[in-house]
Amino acid sequence: MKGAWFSAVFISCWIPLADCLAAQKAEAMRLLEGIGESARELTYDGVFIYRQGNDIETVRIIHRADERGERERLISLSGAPREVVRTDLHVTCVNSSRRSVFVEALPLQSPLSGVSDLARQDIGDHYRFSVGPGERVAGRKTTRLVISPRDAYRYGYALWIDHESGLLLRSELMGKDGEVLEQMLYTQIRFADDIPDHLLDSPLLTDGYTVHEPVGDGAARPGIRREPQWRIRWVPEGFRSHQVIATEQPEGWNEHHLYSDGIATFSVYVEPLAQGTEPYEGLSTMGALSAFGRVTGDNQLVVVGEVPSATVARVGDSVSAP
Amino acid sequence: MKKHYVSELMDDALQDDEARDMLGRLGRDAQMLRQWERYHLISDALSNHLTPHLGRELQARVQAAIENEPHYLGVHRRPWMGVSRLAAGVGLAASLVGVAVIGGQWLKGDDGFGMGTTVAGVTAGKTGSATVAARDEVRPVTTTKGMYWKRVEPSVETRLNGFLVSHSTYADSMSPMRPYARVISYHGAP
Repeated sequence: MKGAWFSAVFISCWIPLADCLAAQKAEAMRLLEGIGESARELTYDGVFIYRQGNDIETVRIIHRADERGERERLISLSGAPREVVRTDLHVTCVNSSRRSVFVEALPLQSPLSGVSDLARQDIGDHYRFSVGPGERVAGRKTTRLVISPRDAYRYGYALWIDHESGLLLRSELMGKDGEVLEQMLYTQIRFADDIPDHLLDSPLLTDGYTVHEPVGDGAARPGIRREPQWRIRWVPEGFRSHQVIATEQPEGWNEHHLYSDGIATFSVYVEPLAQGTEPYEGLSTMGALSAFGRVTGDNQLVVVGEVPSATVARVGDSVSAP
Repeated sequence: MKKHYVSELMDDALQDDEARDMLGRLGRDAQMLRQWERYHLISDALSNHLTPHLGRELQARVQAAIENEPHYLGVHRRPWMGVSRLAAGVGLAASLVGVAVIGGQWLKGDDGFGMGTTVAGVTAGKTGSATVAARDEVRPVTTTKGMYWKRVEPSVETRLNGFLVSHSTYADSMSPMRPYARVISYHGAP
């Protein structure tokens, strides 16, 4: 009798709780989709503060999306001039303090575009979600979404999403024990119908700068392709392969494997280690970014992503040669 | 008190949770944000990081204001003192009225595409006080800091950046954070 009573109480509590959790997850998915869509489809001009550890940057972002395509310019407002200009085809990163320019070809179709893909079907198995009202950010009303990982192979997030536009206005990326590794916060945001071309072009002069060629694959790069030869034998549960490209470059075959669990991503690169090039071995971090390198045969293997160090190291150790 | 905390934030002198709270408040408190912008502008002026059309005159004024302020005399020889601590001094802040106005233009990029309310709301002040001639060289009082790869040899740093840019082109459409914020924030190892 007592057991039946407990069962009745359990069921009567569990069903609404399960409904509530399902509703939270559905709302979280809707918000996450909205973040991606609004960042791509809206035209806006704003200033955000980005904090990583003790370092703080102020960045202006100008983004235009219209029938001409998508174009974005990020301008560092403090320290040495640095800019990133992104079009539909290329991303160009200029760092005046390093006197360097990185140019990378963008994939014609992002393998991760459309967040409602397979990767997010079982996302609830790897993260918990909590949705509620958020504080005002840059004078705008927000919804707060907290994403907590269920294991140690990924990070947690707190996101403040603009109630009206769906744009992400504030975010915190949290490591183990809730330690904040990165923060982003808009201090100003203005939505516009159009942005003139000249605001989207970088005025930085790059004469005499070192131009670095793309690494990895670059889906738009020429080259004969083949089936990937390298095998990644372990990834954390929930991470799926979204792209594997092997291209032949003058120095040999390069491979790029891209994985995502629907929120976090990491890449595995394998390329020939050119003669005289210093090998990269071991772990490195920059805020929430982790990198792991090792040399296998004549090849350099690098795993880089927005996941804990332990994840990239274990993935890197699992890669086996053809 | 508020001003004090903004300077502490700029000087990396806050505990992690305090810094986190402070950043949250910057998004809500226009006065605190203006203070923040002012300190950044002064810091960049002293570090020779302003655009040429703003840089020379402003650098001279900031340096002159520091040297004319008895309380802070000689502080540029004390590298452990953060620039915002200097700027937090009432005398210096008062000497630099007008800096905020220029700072507004600086943040707006002077492009005719108004940036909205926060910067435009900065109170205009007297822009005079440039009584000291511009100097050819202005010594920075802050040490270099910034985001860079930890535990990596300089010889592999550039290659690692190449992988960072490459990965960011793919992660951009998925990550809730902005991957290019990491790229643009990269300073290189000190």
